[in-house]
Amino acid sequence: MTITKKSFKSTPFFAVLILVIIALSSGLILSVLSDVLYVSDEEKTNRDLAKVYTSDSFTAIEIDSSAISAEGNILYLYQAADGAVVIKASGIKGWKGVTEIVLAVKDGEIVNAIISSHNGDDKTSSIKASHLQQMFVGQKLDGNLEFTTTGTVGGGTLITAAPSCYATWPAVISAANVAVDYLQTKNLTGGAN
Amino acid sequence: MKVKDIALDGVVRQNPVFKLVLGTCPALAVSTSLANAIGMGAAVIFVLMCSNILVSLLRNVIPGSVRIPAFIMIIATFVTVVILAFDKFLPDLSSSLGMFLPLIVVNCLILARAEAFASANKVGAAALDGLFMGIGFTLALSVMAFIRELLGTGCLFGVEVLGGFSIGIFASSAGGFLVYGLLIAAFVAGSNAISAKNKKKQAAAEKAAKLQAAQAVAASETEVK
Repeated sequence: MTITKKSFKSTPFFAVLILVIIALSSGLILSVLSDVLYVSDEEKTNRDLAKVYTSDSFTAIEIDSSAISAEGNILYLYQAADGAVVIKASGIKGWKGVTEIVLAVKDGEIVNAIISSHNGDDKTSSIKASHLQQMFVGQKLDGNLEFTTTGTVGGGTLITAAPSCYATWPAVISAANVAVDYLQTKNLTGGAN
Repeated sequence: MKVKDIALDGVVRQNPVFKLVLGTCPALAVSTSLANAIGMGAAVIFVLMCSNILVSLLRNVIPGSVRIPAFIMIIATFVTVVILAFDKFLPDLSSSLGMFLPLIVVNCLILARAEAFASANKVGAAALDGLFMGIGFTLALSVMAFIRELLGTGCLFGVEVLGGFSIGIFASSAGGFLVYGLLIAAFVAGSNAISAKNKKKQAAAEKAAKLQAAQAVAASETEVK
């Protein structure tokens, strides 16, 4: 009778052991790195504020939840040192997820608009900064300002005609409407202090 | 393998996008913008190099029966590192690349190089293979993105350069396939032309060498007589 000696390396136990070691090592490295590279909500807010409006300081304004439109939500509201108002709102009706935009309003006029996050709706990457500028910047908060999805941007091409943007633009519009609706209701026009 | 061979294979002879047709999904999805293409390329270079190095280091340790899940775990770890780093330092690029960053884990190119090269070669060669394959991938994506962004939106890096002129189809998925197919055809035609030229040169050199050898033999026979 021939007894074949099986090496430890060829056993299933060794294969599983290797996988477990790799998994544990990866987990350990990633847990350390995720702590080191963690981006807090405060950091994200500061990034948005710096991107949308230049100011030495921002003061948080309390949000009146009863004045928020049903189409979305107001996530934060800040006032800059010169009186301008920065508002972050989320809108529904997108392809998926919740699209969040940030508007800066100064002296009753929108001066800047950015998409803050898309929460999984990656089709927002097709919406360029120039689209947002053309659609929102310069619009005046006259008490009746409201945006529609049939606005023309991008050199005359309907934004809804661009296949990648079609499903997401309604979310951007509804977020903008939530924001301007709130500002007009509360009469926050970003005037001088 | 020589460094020159590894470099030429990665960038030209075995270009992952145009020759091996690997990583097609990000190639089509991310090549709408040059900035995105370069960003994706940089991420792939990092993941390729790191995963190749680690796979090569562990090539005699990981049993053959579990090599694929082991490789996937290693690749996923480095992709997660890239995602964390992009979220921290390049949030706009991270947002722009969206779900295609995590999809690097299942990019055929990375698993293919780990399986076909890194697991059978030393660390130095594996690292170089990862680097040059990544450079080849980045260059291919950049060429596609240059054409698609310029013609599809009239912009480069978001800056208008064609005065408002654009051909919308190039920015769409259909245009992506069109550009991809045409570039593959051009690449294959070019590389066939170059290899035909090299073969001609080689044949001529062999003929000349044979003639020289025959003349040398004839000359030595005349001397003997």
